Amino acid sequence: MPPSGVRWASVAVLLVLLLASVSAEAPVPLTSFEASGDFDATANNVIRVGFSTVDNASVYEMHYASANFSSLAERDANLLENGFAGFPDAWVRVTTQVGDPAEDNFRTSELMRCWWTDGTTPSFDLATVPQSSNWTEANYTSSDATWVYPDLEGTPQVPPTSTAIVCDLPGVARGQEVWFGITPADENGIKVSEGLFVVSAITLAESARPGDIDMTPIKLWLAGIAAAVMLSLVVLRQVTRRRRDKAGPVMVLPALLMLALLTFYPVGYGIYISFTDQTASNYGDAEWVGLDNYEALNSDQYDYDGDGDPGFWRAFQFTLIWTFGCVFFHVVLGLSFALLLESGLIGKTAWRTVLLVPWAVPGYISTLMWMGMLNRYGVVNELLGTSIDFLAVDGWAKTSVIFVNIWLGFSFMTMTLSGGLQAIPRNIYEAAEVDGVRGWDRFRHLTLPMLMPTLVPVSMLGMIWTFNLFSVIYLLTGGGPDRFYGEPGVTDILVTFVFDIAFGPNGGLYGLAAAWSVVILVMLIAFSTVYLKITKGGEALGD
Amino acid sequence: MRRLATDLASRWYTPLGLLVSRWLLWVAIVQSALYVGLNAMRQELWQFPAVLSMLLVGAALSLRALTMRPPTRPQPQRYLEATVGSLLLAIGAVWGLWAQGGTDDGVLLVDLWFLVPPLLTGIYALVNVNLHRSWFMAEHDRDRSEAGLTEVRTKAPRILQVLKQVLMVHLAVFALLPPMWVMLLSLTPGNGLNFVGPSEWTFEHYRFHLGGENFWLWLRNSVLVSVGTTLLGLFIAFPAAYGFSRYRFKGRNVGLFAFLVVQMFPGALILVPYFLVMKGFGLLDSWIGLMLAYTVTALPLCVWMMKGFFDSIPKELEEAAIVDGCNQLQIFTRIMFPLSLPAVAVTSLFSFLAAWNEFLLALTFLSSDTKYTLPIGVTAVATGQSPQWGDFAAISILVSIPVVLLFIVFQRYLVDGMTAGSVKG
Repeated sequence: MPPSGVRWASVAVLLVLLLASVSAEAPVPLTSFEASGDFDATANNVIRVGFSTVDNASVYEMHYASANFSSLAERDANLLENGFAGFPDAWVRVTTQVGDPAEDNFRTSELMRCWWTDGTTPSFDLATVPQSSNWTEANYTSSDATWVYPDLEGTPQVPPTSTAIVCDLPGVARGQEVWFGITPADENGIKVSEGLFVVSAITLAESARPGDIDMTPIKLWLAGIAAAVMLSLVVLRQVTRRRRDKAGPVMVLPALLMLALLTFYPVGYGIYISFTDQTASNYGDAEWVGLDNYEALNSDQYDYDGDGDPGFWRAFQFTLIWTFGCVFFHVVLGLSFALLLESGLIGKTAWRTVLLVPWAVPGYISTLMWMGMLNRYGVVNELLGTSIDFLAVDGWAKTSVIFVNIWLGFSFMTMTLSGGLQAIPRNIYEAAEVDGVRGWDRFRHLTLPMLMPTLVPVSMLGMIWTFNLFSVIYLLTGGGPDRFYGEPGVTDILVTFVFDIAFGPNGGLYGLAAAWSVVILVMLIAFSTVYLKITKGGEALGD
Repeated sequence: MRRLATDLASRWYTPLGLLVSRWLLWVAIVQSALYVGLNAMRQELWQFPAVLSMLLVGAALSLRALTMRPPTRPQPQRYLEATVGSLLLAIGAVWGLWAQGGTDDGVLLVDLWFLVPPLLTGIYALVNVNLHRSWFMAEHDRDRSEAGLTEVRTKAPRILQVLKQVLMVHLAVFALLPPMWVMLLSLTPGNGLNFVGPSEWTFEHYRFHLGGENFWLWLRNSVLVSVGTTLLGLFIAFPAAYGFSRYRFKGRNVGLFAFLVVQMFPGALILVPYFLVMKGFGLLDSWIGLMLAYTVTALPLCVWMMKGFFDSIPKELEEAAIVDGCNQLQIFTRIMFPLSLPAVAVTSLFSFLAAWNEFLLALTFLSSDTKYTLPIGVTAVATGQSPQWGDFAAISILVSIPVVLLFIVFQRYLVDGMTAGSVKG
């Protein structure tokens, strides 16, 4: 079956030809300009743009927007309103010395690829451009080596003899219509052609889809599960009086097998691949690289923005703030609310049910609700009479993700601790009342020690859960603001960043991600051990 | 003896009006501090410095004076402090409202919420000024003290109860604000961020989902995966828990410990190898891969919970059955299963909810939108280039209501279940 993208083939449309003021030199129009999003079924998030060159141009500026525009001023206004459609603007340099790292002030989108031809009648069969022999791939250079993403070069360069240029522009969301405008300019940045040519294109969701997956392994698994179920029923029937004594291990076996196959094996495998250079592209033939991945965690190799900090400690620091901040407030609020609930409150059951709601609503839904409410134009700003972009400003983004997680978690803590409070025998309080112990003293020396058996495991569980909580940060900020192409952003915690390394837009570095995971696992084990030791000591003191 | 008691009582007597003032002042001081924060957020911190300092200083001054022990000698200075503090509080609050009314925003609900309680606190203290005077001036009167003490004993708990109820209302607003917002948004026409009044309500978003294809597709996938997880988990955990509970064999403790330790394994961190292993098994982008992953996640808790329950069922029942010639399958189906129905129900509920709400693995494993489960589908509606907030709100309500009802009905069991494994460790 052909990919359904073919059915939806988006036809490149020439939209606007705008000629502004007429200068002394007659404007040289681009004779041809096309864009397409479905030139290749495997192309993901890429739009291909082809255009004919004009004389005297030394650079072609390409502008993106998420809505149509007829002038750059309109485009800029649009951007302010709607945000960027994809990656920042891009440039193609025309130079006589192709391949020379020329003086270059342009920073162009990473992952952008260009091809040029000097054939007399260039054709824009966009689907076959890179394969066809008339086309040559441009060279990529940049004078600013620190900025450039590893494996990728800088601005594409084409020779002045080229008659047409085709570029793959990355960073376009699936199914999103994007407008591109092109202006040719000379060495001084003055527009050679006054014309701004704007076309639109869509990368179709279908065009980026993998084909139908192979159903055979799935059917095999289904059959395997069914067979296992039948087999165990038969085995159980066979276990009669005589064989009963030895049946224990048999009954436990399926569960242990499953655990081994789907938990311990992946963990072991993860530790193994953390010592290899496994990536998405060399899947299956990774090589043993020893401790390279571990050394790379905090090395300059991943310092993409060139500030001397690859971000490991930044992410680690925020993980600690996030974990302890959230759990501290969970415990404090949970304990206060639980004490309030258990202090002879009228309508306790009803209030309890109300406080249950934040826990009961699925976490991802609550997070998305808060995402909407914390929007720059959302309800929170309206209620408070403020105008803060809570999820896009560094300090506020950190505060917001922690606040949202406090909202998500206080409810569970309240429920658990109010259960713990109910378990404390009444007569102890009565005895304390007779002795005149009340208020803070009663809480400190009676309630708190009696609550410890609930509080300690719950708070530890809370810390492990929070440490590993992925969805809140992923959905609210995506680790941003200030995510710099592969470095942790301001609100990235270790877990969200590992996801980015493995499955993010620049991801696929499975070996590195596994190394991060192992480091985090070690941290968690160390933390749990220490915490249990300390609090066990505290418990003994409390008694 | 009686005389001594009443004498002491009058010396340690704090009238009800003062107690209430104390409680209110605590509220006022918290609210004033929060109001400073709010003004900082509005970047108007220096617009009302006088207002904010009056509120804070007033509340602090009053509270300091009022929290002293009942005076034995006249304390005119403290009396002055308390009165001036209350005045500052009341004037500050009024001034704040007036100044806020002069800004572009005008007086918002939140300003009223922050400023009216300090205002009422100040007024309440000023109304009771005579009471304050006699207390601060140590004008003890035995009869009045006795009457007052009775009043404190009978009325203070009631007033405290009222304050607690007011506090609970605020907590309820805090807890219900996002759900209420989503509820209103789901009835609002269009896909914007702000809701409208009841006169314009519409059910178009619900119709969009219930009449469309995606919702039912995602629902089907989620139900398939969740029910599959529950059944498979039960089928594997039930005999395992029984084996651990009834038999002593080599490696039993190691096995039990394994089930305990696994709960500490961070799901997100075995994600990468999990993904690769599933890829190797050919189970990516299929509901059976998700089902297996969810089952193994829920398995430890199910085993521990059911083992705990089996431990409490007397062995004699099975022994009698064995004597009657039952095989193991019959023991399970005829005796253990009916007896342990509550534990089975709770573990099933737990597995079901865990699978129903899971986000990360589904996000990683699924790549085609015909396979999406509800979490991924709902997220797709609310994120992306143009979030459809109205549609998101409606689908959120549709997905959440059954889950919330389940939680409300089974809350006690869920709380116990979530902590069961860890408490035992």
